[in-house]
Amino acid sequence: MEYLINLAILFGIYSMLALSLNLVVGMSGLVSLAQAAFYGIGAYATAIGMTSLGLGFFTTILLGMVINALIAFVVGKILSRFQGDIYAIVSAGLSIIVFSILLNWKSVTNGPLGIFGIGKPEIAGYTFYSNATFLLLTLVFTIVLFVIYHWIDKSSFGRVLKALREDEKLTQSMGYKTKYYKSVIFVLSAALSGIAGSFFASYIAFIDPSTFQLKEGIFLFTIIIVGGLSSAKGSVVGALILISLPEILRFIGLPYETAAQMQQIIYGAMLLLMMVFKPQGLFGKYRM
Amino acid sequence: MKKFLLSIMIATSLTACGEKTETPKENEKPVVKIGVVLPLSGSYAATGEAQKKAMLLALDDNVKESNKNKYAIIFEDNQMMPSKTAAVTNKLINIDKVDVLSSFFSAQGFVVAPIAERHKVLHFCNTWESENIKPLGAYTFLQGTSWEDLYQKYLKYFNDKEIKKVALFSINSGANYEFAKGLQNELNKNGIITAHEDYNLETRDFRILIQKYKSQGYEYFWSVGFPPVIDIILKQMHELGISNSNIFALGTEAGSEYDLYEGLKFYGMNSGSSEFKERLNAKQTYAASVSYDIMTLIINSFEAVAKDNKKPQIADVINHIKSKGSYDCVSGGCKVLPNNFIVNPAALRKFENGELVDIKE
Repeated sequence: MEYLINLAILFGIYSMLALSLNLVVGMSGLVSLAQAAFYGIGAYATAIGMTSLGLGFFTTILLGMVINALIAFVVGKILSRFQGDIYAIVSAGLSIIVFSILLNWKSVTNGPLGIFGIGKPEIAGYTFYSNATFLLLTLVFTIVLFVIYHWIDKSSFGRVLKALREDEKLTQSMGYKTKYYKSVIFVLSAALSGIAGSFFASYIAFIDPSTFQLKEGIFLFTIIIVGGLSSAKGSVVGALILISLPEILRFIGLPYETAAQMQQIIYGAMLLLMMVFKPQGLFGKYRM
Repeated sequence: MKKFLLSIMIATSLTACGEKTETPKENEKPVVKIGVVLPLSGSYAATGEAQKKAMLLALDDNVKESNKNKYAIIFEDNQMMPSKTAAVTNKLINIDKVDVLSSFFSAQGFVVAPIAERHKVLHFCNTWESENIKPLGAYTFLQGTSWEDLYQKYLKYFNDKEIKKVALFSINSGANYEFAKGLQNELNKNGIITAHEDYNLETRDFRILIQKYKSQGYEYFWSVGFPPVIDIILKQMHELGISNSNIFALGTEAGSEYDLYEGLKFYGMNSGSSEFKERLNAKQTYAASVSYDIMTLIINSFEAVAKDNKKPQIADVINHIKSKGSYDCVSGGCKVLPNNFIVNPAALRKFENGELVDIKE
C-alpha cells in the first residue's frame, strides 16, 4: 500500500505540472518548454526557504509562486512577441538558463551538491510526516489546480485563449490584445507549476539541478500529448499513465539481465502505439 | 484502449497491494533480501551494469552451503532520477520486503536514506563524498575513497617533485567541485600556488584557460571529470604542448580514446587486483570494487550475527559493522568511521598499454 501511496504522490505532483502546462500549450497553443524551469524554481524556493531561512512549507509555496510569477512576467513580455517554433526555442532557452543558474550559483543553491534534509509541511503544529497524510495534501492541491483549470476553460478569458490558439491574427483583428493574454496565462502557468516543485522538494527531501533540465520539460510535454491537449482530464490521465506505466513494467517478470533495457523498449513501444491510435491524445480536444 | 489501460492498472494495483509473506519452514534458512537501486538504462547505464556485475560476483564468491542465511538480490533501475529512485525504493521496501538497500552515487543515496531510515532498513551507498560528511541516519552507511588520504598523496607527490604551481580543473558536477576546492586548500596551506577553474559538462573549449595557466608558469595540470569532456581536455592540453607526465586526470577511468591516456597517472579509488578486473570482465570498472566490497560486507555481517535459524536483526548487524571497525576489501583495507562512512584508501593508478593499473608506491 505504501508503494501505491508513493506513486500516487508522484502522480499528484505531475498532474499539477501537466495542468499548469496545458494552460499554456493546450488552451493557448503556445509551445512552451519552460515548465521545468518554473518547477525547479518552486522546488528550490521550498528547499532554501525551509532549510536556510526557517520558513514554513506553505510560506515557501507562496514564495515560489511569487518568484515564478515575477520571472514569467519579465520573460513573458519577450515570449509574447513570438509564436510557434520560435516560442518553443525561446522557452527552451529559459529552461537552460535557469538550470545553469541553479547549477552555478553555489552560494545560494549549493550547486551540483544539491540540498538535502528538506522538511515536511506543517499546519498548526501538525506535521504531514507520513506518506498517507502527504498524499492527502497533494491531492487537495491537485484538485484545486484542476478546478482553476476548469474555471479558466469555461470563462471568457479561456475562450479568448482558445481563439488565440486557433488564429491569433483574427483574434487581434477583433480587438483583443493577444500579447496581454499570452503574458497572463504564461505567468499563471509558471506560478502554479511552482506549487508542484514545492511538493516535490518536500516529498523527495533532496533536490539537485539535474532534475530540472530541459528533458523534464519534454517529459511534461509528453504527458499532456498522451493525455490530450486542452483537457484537464487528459492532463491527469496522462500523468497517471506516464507515472504508472514504467512501474507496471517492473512486475512483468522480464529476465533480470535485460529487464531495465526491455522495460524502456516496451514503454516506448506502448507510447508509440497510443499515438498511432489516438494522435490527439486520450482526451484531447485538438491536435498540434 | 482506455478500458484496456484501466484494467492493467487495476490488476497491478491489486498485485501491489498484496502482502508477500514468506514463512520459512522449520530448519529452512532465512532469506536475506538485498534491494539494489542502480542506473541500468540511460546515460549512466554502463556504470550501473558494472556495479551489478560486481555485486553478482560478490554473491557468487561469498554464498556457500555453510552459510546460515540465504541471500537474494533484486536489481531495480532508477535511471539516476530522484523521482524514480523514490519509487523503486518504496517498491523494494514495501513490495519486495528487502532487508538491505544498496544505492550508487550520493545524489541517489540522499533520496534513499530518509526512506530507509523511516522503515528501519539497512542502506549502503557507493559514493564519491568527503568522509567528513554528516551522517545520513543510523541505518545508512556511505562507502568511498578517503579525500584526506587523496589530498595527502597529491601533496606528497608535488612536494617530492618540487612542483610549486598547479592548475586545477574540476567538473561542476556532484562532489567533484568540492573535492577540487579541498585539494586547492590543502596545497595552498603547504605553499603550493594553485589556480582553480570549474567547468560544466557541456564545455568543449579549454584552450584559452590552458594557455593562460601555461603562460603563467603553472607546472602541473590536474583535472577531474567524466568522458567525453576529459578526453577533450587531454587533447587540448597535448595540442598546447603539455604531456601526460605533467598531468593528473581523475575521472571515471578513461574515455574511449585510450591512446590519449597512455602514461597518465592519478590518485584515485583502488580498483582491485587485475584478477578481480579479469573476473569482472570489464575494461572500465567504474568503482565496481566498492560495490563488490559492499555486498561482501553485507553477507559477512549477516553471517556473523546469525543464530538459531532466525534472520538477524538489523540493529545487531549495524552494531557488528560498527564494532568490528575495519575490513579487508578488494578496494584496499576499509575502515568504518563514527559517522557511518566506510572509507577505503586511495591508490596511485596509471594507464599502461590501454589498461588502468594500480601502482604500488
